[in-house]
Order: sequence, then C-alpha cells, then structure tokens
Amino acid sequence: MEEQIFSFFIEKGELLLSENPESPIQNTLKMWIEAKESGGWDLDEIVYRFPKGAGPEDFAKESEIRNMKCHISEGWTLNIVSRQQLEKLKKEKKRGRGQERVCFLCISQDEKEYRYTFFAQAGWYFEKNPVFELELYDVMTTAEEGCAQVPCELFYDEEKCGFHTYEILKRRKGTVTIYDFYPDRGAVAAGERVFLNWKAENAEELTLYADGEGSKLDTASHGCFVSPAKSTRYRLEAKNGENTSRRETLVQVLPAFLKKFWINEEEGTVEWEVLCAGRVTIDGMDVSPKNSRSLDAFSCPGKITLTAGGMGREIVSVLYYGTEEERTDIVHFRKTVTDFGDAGFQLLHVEWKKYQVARENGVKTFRIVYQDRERNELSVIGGMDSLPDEGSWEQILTGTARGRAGELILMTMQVCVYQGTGSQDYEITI
Amino acid sequence: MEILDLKINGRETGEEGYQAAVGERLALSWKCGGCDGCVIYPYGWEGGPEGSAELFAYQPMTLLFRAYDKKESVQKEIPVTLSGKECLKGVSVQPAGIVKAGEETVFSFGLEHTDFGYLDHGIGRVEGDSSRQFLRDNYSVYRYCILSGSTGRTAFQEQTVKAGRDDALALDRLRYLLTRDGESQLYRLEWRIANHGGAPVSIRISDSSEEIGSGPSGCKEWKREGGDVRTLSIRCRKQTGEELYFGSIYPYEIK
Repeated sequence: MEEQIFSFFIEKGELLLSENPESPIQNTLKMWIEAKESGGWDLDEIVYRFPKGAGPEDFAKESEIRNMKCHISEGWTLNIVSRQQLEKLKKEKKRGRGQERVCFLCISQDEKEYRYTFFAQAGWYFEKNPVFELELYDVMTTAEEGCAQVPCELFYDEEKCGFHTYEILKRRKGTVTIYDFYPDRGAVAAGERVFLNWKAENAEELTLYADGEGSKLDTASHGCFVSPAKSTRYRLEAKNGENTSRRETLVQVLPAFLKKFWINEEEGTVEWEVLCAGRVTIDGMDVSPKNSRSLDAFSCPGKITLTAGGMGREIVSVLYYGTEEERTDIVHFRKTVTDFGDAGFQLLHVEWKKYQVARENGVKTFRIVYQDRERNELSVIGGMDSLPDEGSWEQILTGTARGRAGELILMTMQVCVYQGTGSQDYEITI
Repeated sequence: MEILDLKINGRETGEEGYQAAVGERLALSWKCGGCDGCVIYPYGWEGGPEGSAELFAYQPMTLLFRAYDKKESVQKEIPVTLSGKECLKGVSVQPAGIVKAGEETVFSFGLEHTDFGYLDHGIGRVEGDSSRQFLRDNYSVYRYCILSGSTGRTAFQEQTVKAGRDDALALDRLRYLLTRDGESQLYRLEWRIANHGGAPVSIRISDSSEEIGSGPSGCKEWKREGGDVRTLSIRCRKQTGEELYFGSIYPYEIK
C-alpha cells in the first residue's frame, strides 16, 4: 500500500480482565484516526474487526463483545443499521460535503470476528484533529491474558485507503511487571552521574533502593540519575496491591578504562570514550569522557594525545594521524600506557590496523620497533618482518619512571618500499 | 527470551563466578534465544543474539550480561574475582646457552595460578607456560614478568634467564650525552655494533647530509643551536642480508 495519509491512535490500549463475570471490570477504550493533511473527503467507511474467543490473542468472547457500547465523534448522529440496510445506503451514497453529520453502524460477525462497520454517506472531512473518534465502553473480557490485535480498515467507494492494527493488551488487575531495568553505563568514576532506565507497567508504587535505602519514585517515570560513590547494587521495586515486581542492576566504580580512541576516516573525526575517568584531556585540553572532534582541529601529520585517570590508574594514549599518503597504508596506529600506580608497573599496549597493501601489490613491508630510550633497548616486536594487517602487542614496563613512559618508550612503525617503485620508506613514531 | 549459553573461557560459571589471574584474558561467549541484542557491563560492549567478546581482568568486577528485545530484558551476572595466588617458579631455556642463527629457542615458565607473562626483547605478552622464538638479539638477559595480587594490591614478579645468539648483528652500546652551554648544546654519542662482519655503518642526523659517524664503534661530539627536533639514524646491512633493524629507524629525538 502507498504511504498512509492517516494516523491511528489509541489511549492506553489496555483491558483489565474480569476474573469473575459476576463482578465484571468495565473497561473503556478510546481510538481515533487523524489525517496527516487537512482537506479532502475521501473516506466514507471505517471497519473495526474484533477477534472473538477466550484465547490470549482474542479480544473477548462473543457474548462479551455483544454487550459493549460505543460513542463516536462529538456532533455526529449514530444510527444502527442491519447489513441489508447498509448495502442499500451504500448504493444511495450522496456527497453532502460535511453538511450532514450522520453515521451508520452495522455490527456483523462470522466465526472468528466481530465487525463494527461505520459508514457516512457524506464522507468524513479530513483534518489534523481527529477525523473519527470511537469510544468503546462497558468492555468486559474474560479472555486469557495476552495481546489482542484489532485491525482497522478505511475505505472510500469500497476501495481500501488506510489500514492499521491496534494492539490491545489484556492483563489481570493487580498485575505489576518491571520489564527492564538497566544503567546507561555499567561503570563510572566515583560520584559520576549515570542514568538508570526502567520500564515498569501498572505500578501503583515505585521505589528505588540503593544500599538498603529506598526512595519513592513517580510511577509514570522511566528513569533517574544516580551518582554512586562506590560500586552500588540498585533494586527497583514496583507494587500494585498485594503484587510486587523487583529487578536489580549494578553500577560499578572501577579504575579508568579506555574504551575507544580512534580515527573515523569516513566522518573525518577522532572519536574517544573513556569510562570511569575523573578527568580526560585531548592534547592537554579538558574534554568530556565521550565525544568526537573534527580532524581539522589537529595538525597533519601529527599525534593526538589523550590522558585520563581514575581510581589509581593513569592512562596516556597517543594516536597517530598520518598524511594522506600514509593513510592509504595505515588505518590507525596507537600506543597506550596505563600506569597501575603504586603497583610499580605500567602496561604498554600498541594497536595497529593497516590496509592490505602488502598483499595487494607486494611492495611494502611493515614492522614496529619498540625503543626504550632509558635502557637503550631496541626490538622488532614479535620478531616479525611484516606485520599482520591488524593486531596488538602488549608489554609490561617495570623499570620505567612513572609519568615518563610516553617519552621514554617509543614505538616506530617502519614502512619499507622495495627500490625502484618510486616511493620512499617512511617511519611513524609515537 | 532467554540466555541459553553464557561462558567464560569455554566454561559455564555458577554463582561463585570466575576466579581469574590478574590480567587474565577472559573470552566471553554467549547465545540468546529471541533477543534483539545484548550489552555487556561494566564496559558497555554491544553485541547480537550470539557472539563473543574479550576483556582483561585487572581488578575484581562483576560482568553483567543483559539481553533485550523491544519490550523487555533478561540478565545474568558473573562475579570475576582475582586469585591472588599467582606465582612465578622459574624460567628456563632450551637449548641452554648460545644458539646459532635460525635455531629455535624454547622458553619455559614455571607458573602457578596464572597462565601468561611478559618477555622483553620485543616478544611481549606470552600466553601459556612456554614460548618458541627465533632469537635475533645477542646473547643477553631476558626478563620475564608475571602479574600477581588480589583485591588489595596488584604487583609483579620477575625472573631472568640468559639466551640468544653470539653472532647476531646488534646495537651493542649506545650512549648519548647532552650538555647545555648557554644557547648551544654539546652532544656526545658513543656507539658499538656487534657482529657487523665488516659491513659499513652509517650514522646520520636528519638536518645534515653528512654522516656523523661510520665505524662499527666510536665516539663523536658536535655542537648545535636551536631546539628543532631531529632524528638520529643508525644503519648497517651485512652482505648476508642481515640488517640492523633499528639502523634506519632510531628516532632519537635531539631537542
């Protein structure tokens, strides 16, 4: 079907089940249709189909549907007609262009469904306010809990011009469920704000517990900020009468962790994300823990340095941003030193990713050399004459002065071109 | 929707969780039924209904695995603790002593409650209790470190072993001294290249077309002004094809 010119709405979309037909719960359902653009008359018939039965996908039993009542848009007169009368009215269709606000309702059924057919001889005028409103009341159902699908079809001159399926949830009174409860981030620095999300249904009372202390929440809320000073287990409790639903989640306060720091070539940006960091800098400037910045802000070729720290860990990471020629060889080349503080060691982590030039044209070899300027140590990492296209290498630094690993430990990527290719060898040092 | 399978290093974990060595590589694998995706906390990695991820346990934490669809989620937790019993019993090499070019040396590590460590000379992190290497450096000391510690304090243990060749082309000695004299800087460089086999050696600085040294060993002094960054390079290539790897890429910044 082409793009719909109508929008379909329902208020709440829920039926409370009647456990005992002697004391039925009378529900109300309000559904309405709006036109996306005002103007026009090309709608004269609206059909709702209610699946009948006692199953989880049924709306209600036949006897229950038969007893429900309805209102339609204010200002309209509703006349109940038989099927034969409706057919006759359709043949006598006239176009009053809205002067006559009369609607006919024909209720019919087959083995599977109950149909409500609304017909307006003069048609409905389109407007962004509801074109047609239907309020069903005294709706009682003893069908099983579940979701009933009620199709709604729109016609003009018996040609379909709109369609929607309303989903109507059926549940027992008093049922309360927390479907979801999770933090935006699972790890933060001490005192850092994190948003807890939840999806609770039918709660009359909602309480968030942290370390045994509870605070009442608005039952219509879907989340809140918390700022844990230490790793904290949060418990959300939703109540409805005697029924309770509980979910737990955990926000951990951990040492700083570098999750992402790389060049996004397509976007032309450098992107970073550091978890649990008290302070993050890019080239000495304070930045937020998760962000991106245009590469135009950096010199080329150049090194972009990120620092971060938190809970006894200090991270210094250097990302190489090469010239255009170099970038056809190398996707990224990054060196990260994590200082474990009083533990007396640092970890050096090197990551690279290169394009597959070596295999494609066979003229270049790549290798990375580790250099400890303090100890005068030089080594080709992994003893490899040519690097795999993507990889990482890690070394513990036990004798390197704290805070000086960045300048004392250098990693150099050497790109060697065979003679006669017209290109030159080059080196990248970070 | 349910989490059908959740394992660390191929093992299902109970309520007691997973006890890891400090820095252990944890391979997490999962399979969920009827979910749209999943998130692994604390680091917030996103994945599909089935997949794997890798992380390193440097501190105790709880892995929280959350599988979700449009309506709801289910979750499982795996507490990861650190054993604190990691111990390095010893390091040995086979064959013992000096090896010949192309000969493989096997390092063996006596490990308890851990299964990885770090070897220097460019070898890096070694998983398991042995490592096979074709050594390129001269016969020298190799350091092997493991991480240890529990919740209180992370530390490291180190042992050394001698290994290597006696015929490897190597930068055996490099000393560098800078003395400032007002605006001028006086540089002094000492070098020695082992097993060069008579191959020419070239030592240059990037702001000069002339060599500052050419012998396999020596000492050179020079003076310069200004603070521009320059690169020092040392090159040596034997007729056998063996090359001083660092010769052309020794980026000793002279500031």
